[in-house]
Amino acid sequence: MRQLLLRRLAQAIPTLLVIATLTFVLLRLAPGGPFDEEVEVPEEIRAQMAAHYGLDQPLPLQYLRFLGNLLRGDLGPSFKYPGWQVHELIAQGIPVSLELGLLAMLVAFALGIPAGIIAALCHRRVGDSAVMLFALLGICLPSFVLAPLLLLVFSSWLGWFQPLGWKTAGDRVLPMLTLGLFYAAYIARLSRSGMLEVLQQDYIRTARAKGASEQRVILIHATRTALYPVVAFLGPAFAGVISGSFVIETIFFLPGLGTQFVNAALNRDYTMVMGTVLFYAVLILAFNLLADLLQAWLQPKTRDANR
Amino acid sequence: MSDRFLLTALLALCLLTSACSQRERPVDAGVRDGILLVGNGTEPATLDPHLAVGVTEHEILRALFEGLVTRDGRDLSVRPAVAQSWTISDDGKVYTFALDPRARWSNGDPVTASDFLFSFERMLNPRLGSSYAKMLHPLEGAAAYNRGEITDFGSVGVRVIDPQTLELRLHEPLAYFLDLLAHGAWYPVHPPSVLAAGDRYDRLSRWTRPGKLVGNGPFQLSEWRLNAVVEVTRNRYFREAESTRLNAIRFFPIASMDTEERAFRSGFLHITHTIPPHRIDWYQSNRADAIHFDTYLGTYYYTLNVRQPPLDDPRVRLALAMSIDRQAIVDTILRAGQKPAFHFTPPNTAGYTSPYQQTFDPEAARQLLAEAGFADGAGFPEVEVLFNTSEAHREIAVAIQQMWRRELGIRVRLHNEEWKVYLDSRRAGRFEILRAGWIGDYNDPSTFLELFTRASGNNPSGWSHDDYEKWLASARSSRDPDERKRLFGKAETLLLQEAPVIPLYFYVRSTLIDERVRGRHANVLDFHPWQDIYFDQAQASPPAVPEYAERDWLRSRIVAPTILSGPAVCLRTRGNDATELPFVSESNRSHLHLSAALFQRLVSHKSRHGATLLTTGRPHPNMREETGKVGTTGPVVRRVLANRRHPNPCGHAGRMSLPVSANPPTSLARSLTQRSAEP
Repeated sequence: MRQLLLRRLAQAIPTLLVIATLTFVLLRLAPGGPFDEEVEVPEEIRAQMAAHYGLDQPLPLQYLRFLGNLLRGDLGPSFKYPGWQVHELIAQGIPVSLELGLLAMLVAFALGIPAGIIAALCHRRVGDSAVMLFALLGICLPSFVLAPLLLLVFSSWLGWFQPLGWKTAGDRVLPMLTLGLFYAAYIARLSRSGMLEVLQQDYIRTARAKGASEQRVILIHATRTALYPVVAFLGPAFAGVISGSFVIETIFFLPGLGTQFVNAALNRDYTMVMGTVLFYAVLILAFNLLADLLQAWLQPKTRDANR
Repeated sequence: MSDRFLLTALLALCLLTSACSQRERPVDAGVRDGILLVGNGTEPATLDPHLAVGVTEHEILRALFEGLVTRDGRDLSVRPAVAQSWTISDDGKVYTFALDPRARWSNGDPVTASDFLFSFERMLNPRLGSSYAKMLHPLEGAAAYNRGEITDFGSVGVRVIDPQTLELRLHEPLAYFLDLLAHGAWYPVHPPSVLAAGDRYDRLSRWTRPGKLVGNGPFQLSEWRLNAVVEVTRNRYFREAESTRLNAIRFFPIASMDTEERAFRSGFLHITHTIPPHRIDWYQSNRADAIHFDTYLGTYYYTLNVRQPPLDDPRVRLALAMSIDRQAIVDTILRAGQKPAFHFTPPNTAGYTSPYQQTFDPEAARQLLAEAGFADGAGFPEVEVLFNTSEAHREIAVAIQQMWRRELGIRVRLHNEEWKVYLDSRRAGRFEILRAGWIGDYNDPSTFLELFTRASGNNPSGWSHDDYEKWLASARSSRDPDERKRLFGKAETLLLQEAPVIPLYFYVRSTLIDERVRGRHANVLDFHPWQDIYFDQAQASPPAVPEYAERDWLRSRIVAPTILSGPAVCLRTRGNDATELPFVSESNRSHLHLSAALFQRLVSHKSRHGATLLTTGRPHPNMREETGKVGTTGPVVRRVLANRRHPNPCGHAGRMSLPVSANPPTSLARSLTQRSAEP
């Protein structure tokens, strides 16, 4: 297990370097720059601004300088927001994005796993079809459709929740549902197929033959194994919920990181794009690692092998 | 067990919903406490007046800073601000300002002439790299200093005579100089607080953070949370602090116009930045007092790259301009009261309207095209229209593409690019026909017509003309208003005949404003001094609950309306035979109300047929005279109301309903059918 951890950490460094380099190159290849505005800026002013941010230097030098600053933990100043450092902007967005992401994952697991198990137990019966139909809907409905629908029903018609904001507990409900339902649907499908496979296994038959109660067979013996695919999905899912909330943040007016990420790219805010991309990259790597560790721990084979 | 669980859950739900429904709406709390809630589009990039470029930033800066002069929100006339009076030399080049001794910074320091000197120097210094420094170029030597050609600010036309007297020298007389001076680029900054935060030319300085920013406007910065809110509170040192009526303003950067509209409807905002076009109809028939369309000093236009054949031929350009039906674009696509544009400077800009117009005359356009060698479009190469990615721009481009094909027989490609890519193409001249828009910086025709001079930097068409340069130069320095109008007229006529530009429409700003907001006057610059705004406490609060959803939902179920004999009006609904008033909807929990338009129809019906509308409880303002008794409620409405947590709407005070009858429709019924048949 420790070996796995060390190996993955060692792999992470070149991965991040590749991501940083690719992002840097792609950003500079994109037409238009951070100082292009509707009102044309005179050439000499443009040159001044470029000099201010070190954009007048040759690209390789800029790149090396960026890497040097990165090693010192300095992501640089934002181009779009003079007076703000990239790390400050990210720090302002993290709490909301993180909370929204975690709540959405809660929704995803709380709905997805039981639904998947129930579907597997009702295999090829009405319950199964119903759950899978909803799961398919959940996966197909994009959040920019689901969010207005939820708003229409729960805010406009029923008046239960405010249509925007992030102050009260009630404000969290609709965003977390919007974000979580997609993952719930995905997890339902994963846990269903996992469960179906496990229920065919010999050891389940053995457990039943030994006279274990059906409850025990399902909850203790089968579920644990059935959730392997779900655990594997955990890493990408966590990274997804924390980063993939641009639409939801816009619709519910939440001050999260997703909005900043997308706007940074649109504004050609070079440093901000680099900062957010690297931040997400670290997050994804970390969650993937976490998911792998969890999976290894769940699987007695690997757990024992590493002991 | 499960029953008890269900009961508990229900109870919790009830508590939750009642807690939600009784919460005071932010707009009502705002009216009570004097806090204005404003939707402000996007997140302000900066609060440094010398670095700010956008409308978003200037909305907030107007609350935080004040220049030498300002404008009157009612008529845009120049009025004293930090300068209480001024004199202009006979040659029109030297302005001497006497500063108001009451003018103070938000920390209590007096605002002095040297603060202005410090600020203008900072703005013009090339090291700061301010995009709007150009606004200060009329000052003697300012352009050269800004370009770094001279380094001694002493030779720039700004002089401190004494702490209360400032002199500004221009390199040539400028008729609209005072108008220009009201622009945010001329705001002063507080030297000690800028210097305390570091190098004064450092773009990365943090002096604009809450707690550090010291301004001289009617408000001061108290909070700035990115992508959440900028809050300003009353500045007690403001020179006219006693006339400021609001205690605070909160600016919310709500980028999505649908979200903003929802926020307004649910009582989160007093003023929105804009309104989604598809909601205009609803507001017009339901909250007509809340929706505002103000003419805006701006023109939406296409500009043609005159370096590229066949657009290098003025006859071709004019033919393109004359075959666009602007009225149709305005009526069918924009639909928010925009005016079709046949000339470039918006009508009545500081009293000037173009004497010449590009007309809509397809016959003449075909003639011109034939003269240019493309009879019926034969041999005309396919040209491309470039616009920045947006559904609104696309719709207009598609309409124009069809008009050109129909009227001239020419083919046009549409090409959209993401904003920064589009700007890059525009700067490099990589386009044939380009969508653009221009908003006036100040109320003078020159802010539009200067665009097509060689020095403008904002004219990607490549067109220029010696006469045009000459006339505009004369207009710049002339102090005779009529002479200036004549010169502008000549220049604009030339511009429109040569047609490097095809004006399409004049902008309109559409906003939603809470009915209780007062002191905000419509004007073409969308300039609203925050200190003038206040709330009318006596005005009833507008409807608390969004009602359009139910109505739309019900309307979709209406099959045919029926007018009953006597007092009753009812509608037959799909699915069952319940007769009710489906267009009657709930506006808050104590009463029902009709949309204004429907109410009008009912009232006119009443006068003709002697019908009476029955309501109890607190009536909607529109229905004040029509109070009466409650009847029974039919199943359809009951179902809807039950959805809204009214388990027993029958007999509930404030419901309006009428008895069932099978009498044949009358004229009102027909008009209602027509209405319900509207998409």
